Amino acid sequence: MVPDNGSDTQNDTATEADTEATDPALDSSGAPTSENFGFYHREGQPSGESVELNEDQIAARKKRNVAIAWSLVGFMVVIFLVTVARLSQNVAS
Amino acid sequence: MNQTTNSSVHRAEGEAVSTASPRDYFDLMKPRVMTLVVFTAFAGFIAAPADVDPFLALISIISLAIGAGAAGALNMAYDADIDATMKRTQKRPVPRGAVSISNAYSMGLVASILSVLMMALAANYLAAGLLAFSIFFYAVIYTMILKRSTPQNIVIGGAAGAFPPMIGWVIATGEISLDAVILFMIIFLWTPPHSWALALYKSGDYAAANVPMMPVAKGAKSTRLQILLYSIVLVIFAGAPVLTGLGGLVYAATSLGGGALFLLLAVRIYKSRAGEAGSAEEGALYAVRAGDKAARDLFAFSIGYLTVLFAALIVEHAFGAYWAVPGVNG
Repeated sequence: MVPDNGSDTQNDTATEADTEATDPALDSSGAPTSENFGFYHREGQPSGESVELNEDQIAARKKRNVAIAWSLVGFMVVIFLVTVARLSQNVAS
Repeated sequence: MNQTTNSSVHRAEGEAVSTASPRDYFDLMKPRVMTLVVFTAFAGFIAAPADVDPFLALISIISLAIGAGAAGALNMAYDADIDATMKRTQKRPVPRGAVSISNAYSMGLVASILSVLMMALAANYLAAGLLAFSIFFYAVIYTMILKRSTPQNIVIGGAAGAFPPMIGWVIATGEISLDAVILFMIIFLWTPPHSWALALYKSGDYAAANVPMMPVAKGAKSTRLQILLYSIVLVIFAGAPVLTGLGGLVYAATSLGGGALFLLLAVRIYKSRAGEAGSAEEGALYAVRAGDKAARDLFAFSIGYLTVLFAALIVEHAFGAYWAVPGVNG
């Protein structure tokens, strides 16, 4: 362990502030700027890139989402009904 | 915020973002195989001497179907390279590019886990364990190990497809009996002649994909002989349910008639030169060259044969059409 001293801490703080000031994807508070829409590609670094879906892809994604939603609802209903059926069997026996 | 105005926004051009529909994911589960799985499992369930809550039985059979579909999805994910090479399978969702390999794996794994959980809840732990094992057997033992390494791939791997009637039986009774093993064995013995008949007239496909199916590894003549031998054993063994009392008159008649036809077609294959003409030019399942017709006929009939055998059990046990065979189980 290396003991901290005042000057080291000041240097670290200055370096971070420089980085933030020179990064075009971040504003002065460190938040993503409007230019990158908050998209990051790795290790918290803003990529500035995003993917725009065409109409077919949006429609396909919506269909998949709806199918997944119905599957989940169906699964929950089935588990509920099976539990009720099992409980009634146990009570009856 | 309007993303379209930003210069760093990229239009996705198909390959990057999926346009897969729910139907593509459904196709990933091999619906035709699922149908046969449900049918044979239902026959095993109905033939078993037990009284089960119909709703729980329905959920159990659905779980089995989902589990079979999950195994199919895992198979398609792993075999994407083979499927892309073979004409017969080129239009499957993964080689077609509709579903990515990783998505196929994801779906297969999630569906496997959910189906086994549902089976455990709705039926019993033995049925759930058998379902889990059959998925593992098909996806790992058959698909990942046997299929690419030995011409006996579908002989051993056929066990995976033989589990459904046994699982159906266990759903009903909670235990494995001799009759359940007999139903398992019927499908186990049925698989080699069924699969090799297809492999005979699609051998070019399998050869192109480096899959050592029997006609590719041992040649058409040896395959035709083995089809005949397995068919004889199958037809004899298909009579076993009559001896134990599982099958009555209807089953016995079906087994005799269907077995005779099965043997006839197997002899026709043996005498033919099926498999020596190479692969059919067309990719469709039943497309065949003239010399391979005997193989195509047995392949098609084998599906009908298995269907009527199990249908006979359903008719006898579900519709009260069971009459003991005089002198055997009467």
